[in-house]
Amino acid sequence: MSSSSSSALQQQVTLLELVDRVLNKGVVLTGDITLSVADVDLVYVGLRLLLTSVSTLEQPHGDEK
Amino acid sequence: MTLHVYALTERPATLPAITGIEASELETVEVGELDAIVSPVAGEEANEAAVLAHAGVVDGVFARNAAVLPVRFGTGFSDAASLSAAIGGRVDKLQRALELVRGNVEIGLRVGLGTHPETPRTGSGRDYLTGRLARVRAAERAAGEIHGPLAGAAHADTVTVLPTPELLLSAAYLVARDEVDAFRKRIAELDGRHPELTFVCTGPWPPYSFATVDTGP
Repeated sequence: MSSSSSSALQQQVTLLELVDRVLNKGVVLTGDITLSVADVDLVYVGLRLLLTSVSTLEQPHGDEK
Repeated sequence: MTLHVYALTERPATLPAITGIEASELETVEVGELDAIVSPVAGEEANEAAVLAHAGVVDGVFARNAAVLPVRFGTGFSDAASLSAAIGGRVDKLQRALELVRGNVEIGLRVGLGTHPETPRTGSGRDYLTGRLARVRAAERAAGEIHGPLAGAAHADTVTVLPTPELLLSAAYLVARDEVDAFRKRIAELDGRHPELTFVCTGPWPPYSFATVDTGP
């Protein structure tokens, strides 16, 4: 892999990992208003559409224990 | 108005000099021995700007406080009393999680398989299953050779082997802030020993993967 494509991959994976963390990880609180999984998934899909070139490094949403 | 929650810290929290979602002002709400970092927003709404603003606040809080638990995006409370009530009974559990992450950062690692030979569709179903099982076992062995030494050097870890057919493993490691360079060097060494695999290391992150404390009822 060339260094430029490697660095582009790094950037894309970093954004993907950021979105995974913000939406799927962290302390889960039961709030008065909690966004539905469907609402969050829409954003998730929107952000991931920007990241098609990392499809080979994708991990299915919500697949973790 | 809704109080959107970004993160939990030990009291007193040091707030970053930034605003939250929709340029709202950050505040702290005291819950037992903890501080919750919140801001008033018009309502919980899922959009890209809100997700990125949430991440920005978590980063800012993480940069200024030794022990921070990011809160999952998308939770709002009608007022401080309601937030306190939701967290109140679980302060002990959260304090233990804060102890674990104190002074540490999260390093992410994804290792992609360069190639993944398709299972030949010829032959019997038995051959197919045997071949597939052999490949899963080989992947588990290869993942163990990479994950084992890294987990040994980390305070905590999470790993999923073969989360997709193209990915050998996806992992997160909790590492002391001042050991990040040494840890990245270990990953680089493993990368060098495995030219057939694609290593992508990310972070340091706030410890999102080690804050998955369920405080629901």
